[in-house]
Amino acid sequence: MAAAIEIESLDKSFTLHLRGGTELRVLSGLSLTVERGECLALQGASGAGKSTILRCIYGNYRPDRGHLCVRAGDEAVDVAEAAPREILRLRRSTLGYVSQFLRVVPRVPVIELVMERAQESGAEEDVARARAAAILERLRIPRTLWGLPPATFSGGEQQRINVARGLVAEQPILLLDEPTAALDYENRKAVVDLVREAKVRGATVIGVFHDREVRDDVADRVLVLDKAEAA
Amino acid sequence: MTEPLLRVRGLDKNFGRVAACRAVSLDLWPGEVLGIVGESGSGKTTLLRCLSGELEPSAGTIEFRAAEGPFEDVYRMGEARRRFLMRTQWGIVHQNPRDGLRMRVSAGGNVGERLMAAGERHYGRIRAEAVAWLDRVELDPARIDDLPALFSGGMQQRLQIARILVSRPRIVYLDEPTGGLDVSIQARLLDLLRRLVRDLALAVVIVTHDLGVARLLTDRLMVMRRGEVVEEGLTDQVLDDPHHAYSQLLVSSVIGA
Repeated sequence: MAAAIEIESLDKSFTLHLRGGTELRVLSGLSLTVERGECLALQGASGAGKSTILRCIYGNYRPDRGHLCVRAGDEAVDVAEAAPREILRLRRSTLGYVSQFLRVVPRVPVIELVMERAQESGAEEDVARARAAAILERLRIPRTLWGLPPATFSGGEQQRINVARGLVAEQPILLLDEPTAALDYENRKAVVDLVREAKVRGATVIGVFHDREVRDDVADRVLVLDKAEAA
Repeated sequence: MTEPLLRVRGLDKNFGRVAACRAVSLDLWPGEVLGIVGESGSGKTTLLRCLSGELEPSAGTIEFRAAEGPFEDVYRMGEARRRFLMRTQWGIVHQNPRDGLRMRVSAGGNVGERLMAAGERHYGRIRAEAVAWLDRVELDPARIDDLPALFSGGMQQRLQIARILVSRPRIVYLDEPTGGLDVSIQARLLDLLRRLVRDLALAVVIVTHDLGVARLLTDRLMVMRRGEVVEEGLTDQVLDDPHHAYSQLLVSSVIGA
């Protein structure tokens, strides 16, 4: 497998047992190839399945049918069939993910929250600390906040810490779910610069970018999901 | 990392006519944190007690593998061997610290006991280890001679953890470790547990009804209902994309987890 990600005939629906078994079909027969080093932007109306695609690739949602092969070094892992510990290993080695919400153990300082992501991917403590400091600096998080837990931070600050956690380990594939939502111009630019640098070092990026300027800045290709394709 | 530490197949546990656990199978790997969630009475604690050697199952096998060794059936290995493994290779942190601590023995004595059980006889070394482990679980070593009753609930919980970790076990079983603690103390314990798991490469099985705790602490989740495992998988996958009706009910009933 040469491509970074190959999705084949992917179906994903949600059966709501508490709503009388209502079935929501979100993805139906989705096939998609993302080449190494490419940046693909997912576009479409709310509910078209943009985040669902990212979550399926990350192993966070379990597809009903289809294949979802992710290239990890010399091998290809089908996330749709992989055991939990294989998915965890794939995340550490290969998949960086920036979600829309920051969910962390209370009381842990920002610098450690970012470091731990680098450490999970194999960096020694001092290397992880240096990388975490560098990326927090780039994301314009004031040094005075590094020793504090982020619970009381603003939405924009929390989002940037989320970005730092997703990018610090420099995995070869990055899944970005609206990484610049809630950010002002300067901070948006900081995130865009980091994503571009990731591309320069050869990373593959799939992202949902709310902001058209951001999308134009980073994406090589745009995939428009509409209900016809997704429902 | 080619073989699990613990292998459970077809475990049943009946109390009279009540089936507390039914056909439970699982593998636990070194360094892995497995969560067991479900409401009260779903069989979580019974399962944990079976795994930890305290309660013999009615059917099925529980096999543990000591370092480089073969799998050994926990309930067919003979009492002496099981006692030895229970004191050295794994430990259980009880929901009620009184079940896991000797209340008439000092904090230091509680921690030192497992070392003595493992053959250590040198008082100075035992005391030094006890001091080091009290410090590691964030208890003031100056209180080494205090009785556990003088400690708060959160401190007793941490003392139980120190008591077990001192023997460098490979598996730690935790029964509702944050239940009954103040929220701020819970957060502190969560942080401590996470660091210990990472630094000591422990395998952990944690029973909790708190899905927030499960999300932050565990890699993998099993959802139990009426003694049966109804769903299992990667923790965030089970919580964000629950498939079974009961898992959906659990997840949707939580406030902000």
